[in-house]
Amino acid sequence: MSNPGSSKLIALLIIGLVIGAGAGYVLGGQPFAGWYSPEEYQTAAAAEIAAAAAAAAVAAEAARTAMIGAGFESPVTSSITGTVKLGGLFCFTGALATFGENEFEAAQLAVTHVNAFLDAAGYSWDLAIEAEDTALGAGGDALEALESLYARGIKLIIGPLASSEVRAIKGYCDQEKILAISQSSTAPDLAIAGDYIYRFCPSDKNGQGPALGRILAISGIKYVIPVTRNDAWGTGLEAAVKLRFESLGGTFLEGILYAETATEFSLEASDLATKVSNAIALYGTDEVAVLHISFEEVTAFFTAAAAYDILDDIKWFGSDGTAQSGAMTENPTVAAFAAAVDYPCTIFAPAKSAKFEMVRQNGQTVLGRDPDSYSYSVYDIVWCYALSICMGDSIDVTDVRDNMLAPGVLTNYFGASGSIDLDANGDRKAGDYFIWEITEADGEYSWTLAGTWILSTDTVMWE
Amino acid sequence: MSADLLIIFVRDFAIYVAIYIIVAISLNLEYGYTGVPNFGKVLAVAGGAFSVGFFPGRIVAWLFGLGTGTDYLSGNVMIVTEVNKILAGNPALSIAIFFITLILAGVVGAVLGLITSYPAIRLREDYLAIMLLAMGEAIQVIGYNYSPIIGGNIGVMVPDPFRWAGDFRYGVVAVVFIAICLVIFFFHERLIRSPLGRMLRAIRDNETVAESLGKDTTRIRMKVIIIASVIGSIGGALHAFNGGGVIATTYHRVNWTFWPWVIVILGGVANNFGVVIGTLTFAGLRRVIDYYKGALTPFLPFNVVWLDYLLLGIMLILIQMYRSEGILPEKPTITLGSKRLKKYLGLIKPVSQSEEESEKQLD
Amino acid sequence: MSRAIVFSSLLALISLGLTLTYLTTKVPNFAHGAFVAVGAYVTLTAVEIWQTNPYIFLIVAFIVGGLTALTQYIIVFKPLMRKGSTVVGLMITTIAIEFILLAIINIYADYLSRTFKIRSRYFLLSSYDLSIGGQRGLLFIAPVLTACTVILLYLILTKTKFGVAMRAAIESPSLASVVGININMVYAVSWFISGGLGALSGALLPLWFPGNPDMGSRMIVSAFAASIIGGQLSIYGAVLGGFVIGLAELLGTSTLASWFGAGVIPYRPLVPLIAIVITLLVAPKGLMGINWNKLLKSLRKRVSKNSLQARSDVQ
Repeated sequence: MSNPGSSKLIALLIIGLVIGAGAGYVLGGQPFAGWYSPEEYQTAAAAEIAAAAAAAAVAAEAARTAMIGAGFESPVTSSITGTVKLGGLFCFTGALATFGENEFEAAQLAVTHVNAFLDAAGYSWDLAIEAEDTALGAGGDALEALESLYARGIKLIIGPLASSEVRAIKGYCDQEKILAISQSSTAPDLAIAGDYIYRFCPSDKNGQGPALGRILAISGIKYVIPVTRNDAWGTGLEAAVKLRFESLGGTFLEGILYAETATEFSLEASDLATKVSNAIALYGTDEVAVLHISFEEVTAFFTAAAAYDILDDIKWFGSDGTAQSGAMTENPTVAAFAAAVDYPCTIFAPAKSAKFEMVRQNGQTVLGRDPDSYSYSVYDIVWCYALSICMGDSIDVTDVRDNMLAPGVLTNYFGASGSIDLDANGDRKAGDYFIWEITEADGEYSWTLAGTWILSTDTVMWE
Repeated sequence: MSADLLIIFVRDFAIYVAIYIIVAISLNLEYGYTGVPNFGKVLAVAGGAFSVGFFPGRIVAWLFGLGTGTDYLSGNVMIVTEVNKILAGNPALSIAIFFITLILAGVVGAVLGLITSYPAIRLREDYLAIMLLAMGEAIQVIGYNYSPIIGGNIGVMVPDPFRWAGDFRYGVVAVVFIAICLVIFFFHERLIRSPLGRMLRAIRDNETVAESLGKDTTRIRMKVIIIASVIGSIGGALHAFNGGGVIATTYHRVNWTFWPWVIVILGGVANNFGVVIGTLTFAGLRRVIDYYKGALTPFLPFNVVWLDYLLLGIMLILIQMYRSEGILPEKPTITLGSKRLKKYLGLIKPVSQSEEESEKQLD
Repeated sequence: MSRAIVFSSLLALISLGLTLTYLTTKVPNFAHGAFVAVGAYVTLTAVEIWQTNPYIFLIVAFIVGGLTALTQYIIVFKPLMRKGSTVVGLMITTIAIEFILLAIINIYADYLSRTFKIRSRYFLLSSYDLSIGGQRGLLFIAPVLTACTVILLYLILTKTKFGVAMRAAIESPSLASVVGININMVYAVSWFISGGLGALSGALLPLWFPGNPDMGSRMIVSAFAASIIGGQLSIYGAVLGGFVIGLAELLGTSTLASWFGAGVIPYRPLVPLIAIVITLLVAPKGLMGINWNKLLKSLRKRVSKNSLQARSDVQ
């Protein structure tokens, strides 16, 4: 830190930004108490966003004036000039292409916002992003994509998506000192202190697994039939839920593991129907549930499952892979099935800030849908890079990495996915989880917040 | 590009190119010299990579009694981290493990080659291509779902036999890989210049004639397919060692069957120097496209990554149309001054082509 | 079961097209999967942007897919075949074409999602299906469409002058050209039909299964398996193969799952692969090529002779 005074000023500036944005919200329209529900999102019109952005700009301008007024020749002293390039390792090809699309848009939005901030604060550098396709499951090679970015001198990386991809690039990142921040990798074995891999999604072992275990238990479920996407995320989450649920006295029955490339689920559905009817015969409908750990393929799965009457006799539970999925509410068959089986889905509770709303609105404006939950983390990764560079006044990768963990750097940042609280491994600490369900009103289906699982007390607060 | 970056670029490029040359050479041996259209090259490559995921970690862990009592796969990261610490302080052991694994990968490759050769000596080329394609797909499905081999959907971490080199790790890898690539290249050159090589081309060009001369074409073909499969496996093993981890989805038909095909077609079928040039051109072009496509982003209303696919496809078709013999065409093995040779070839080519055409029509 | 019927019918249409191009140009077309995706995007455009019923646009999908295939034939295949490219060279070219088409489809998908704000990847349009007697329309329409296509093709091939010319060109191109048949025309038409059938199937797939730019590439292995089981040289065989593979993939795996547990379900992609391997090794001419009487006789003899027979059949 070259100038301790300036770091405090920047911290002030950031706080100002956040407060300004929040103020913009209150001034811009409906006052809000607590969380937004989806209907309120819809009514939270673009005007509000504009107001928030305007307020943020005002706050930034005020901070700049204050700094100049306080006797600074130039508003900030920074040794960095020119363009700092971030690299994006996104999946644009294959079954997870929607994630790539959403997340790249969120990253680009964040770059725009960061650049506006840097400009307003008087920095003489800006951010840019270049993305590569990791083509997960479609012949891609994350390492090759990373090498291609690195050849362009890019050493600050957003992504990749999957733990398997993170593992593929980890050796190279550590050796070459390239920092990669994954938005969604949760595999427990990658939690290593001092490496060049950070992860902005809390490990399911500490967060979502215990949350779902508890939610299942308090819903009166004793027997769970897991239906799991066969990838590191799916099987890892299933194991985490199982661990917690069985410690609470529940039992996991034999379930179904389906191929991550599957798009067609008639087999799985018919097999599940058999399993469910056997379980119901033994334990009745109230104590048996299906735990469905899936991504977007949920639509195809539910279409197949809707053909079996017995499958909507019991409750289903979902995860962050499906929470708030727009594809589900858009499809009446799927939405009706989800509403019939309750299908509470847990997701890491992003606090509903102005930033969250901006990212969501941007998804609607550019792609016509709500972004997936990881897009909010992607948005925050960009900001965290920028803040770490600002605070440390260095673009050296090791400095950027270490500064993110340094006290006072990210503490004041309240992002689209909430506060970024990292542990010593550079992994996001677990937090509270929202529980979303699909409900029907006047023939329209939408996601509503059903409750919140509180980490500190391991209890659920229903709405 | 700064000097540092240039060195890194060259180094990474060398590793990539060395691996692809090895795989492409093995394909050239199969297709170029023997006429086996291996559309399942990924089978041998994945076999080699899976061997790296399976053997070295277990061997070292067993030697040093690491992780006894825990399952190798569930304790994979912990065990391999320990293994790496041992290897980092023991270059001799590292090198021994590296070569033992390569040999094991070769053995796995030979077995896969034997399996490949079964249909290869029985089927017509288009049937065979589809058959081999299916076999290549199958190994990926099995590797991804059957976790005892390489950890299924989670993959495995692989011991790093180059850790002792410290900061020069990737530099050493580049040098070692290029050396192995050269050895394979010269082995292959010798092979095709041997009587066996001449016989191969004879079989490829006219099997009946070769048979009538008393050659056991089936046996020879099987032999070649096994050798090619071993080489392909070594390529896959090197790729896995360099990356430090193995997961089945990396070994996909696009990057380990189609890319090698593009390279062989681009460089020149049945010409090993052509394959080298082809790899350099292919890899170089891709990097150039990668390097500059970022600059195009603001001008394109779509994601720029599609340009990659578009340009590669168009390039491949243009080669087929205007230079189907590749950059360096197949040369007769007789030694002649290259200038004179070119002149003669120029005289011969048009005639032979029209002959082929009329033959085709008579068919 | 109903899904198995729909899946098999649509798979049969795909393999029918695949077989048609194989029959005429003697090249397995790896780009055939892209025609399927083309059809799916025609449906997506029709349903989401023009708000019409997907069935009305089937004919459009057929034409667009057909034109895509025709372009492939005229711009790339015809000149290459004239140059005397090898079979392998042509196969590689079809892969190149697949890359190009995939890129174009992806660009179009980007355009759709950015301009019209619609979900253009992993889209499921099941809610736009018709309802016939309380059942999903596709359940009846898919098999009927497949049956109609086969009957229509049969009529064209046997009752029309063009069909006879086509068969002649397939049987012996050189002889056909001697008697004055325009082989080029015949080839072009069969490519058009082939692409059209692929797109037709692709146009209906998103009504039941999620559509994605790479949906066809994923199904191509199953389609090849179907085509090979049918003998690669018979359009009726291809349809039969489509049903065999479709039912084996869906019902066969579920039977196995009931025997060995749900653990076998992820291995479903192996079904068409195993089918390819077994068919090619045991009966390379497919179901239609098996001489059943002879097979019964030879079954009494030793199995090894069977493989020898297979070998000489191919060579």
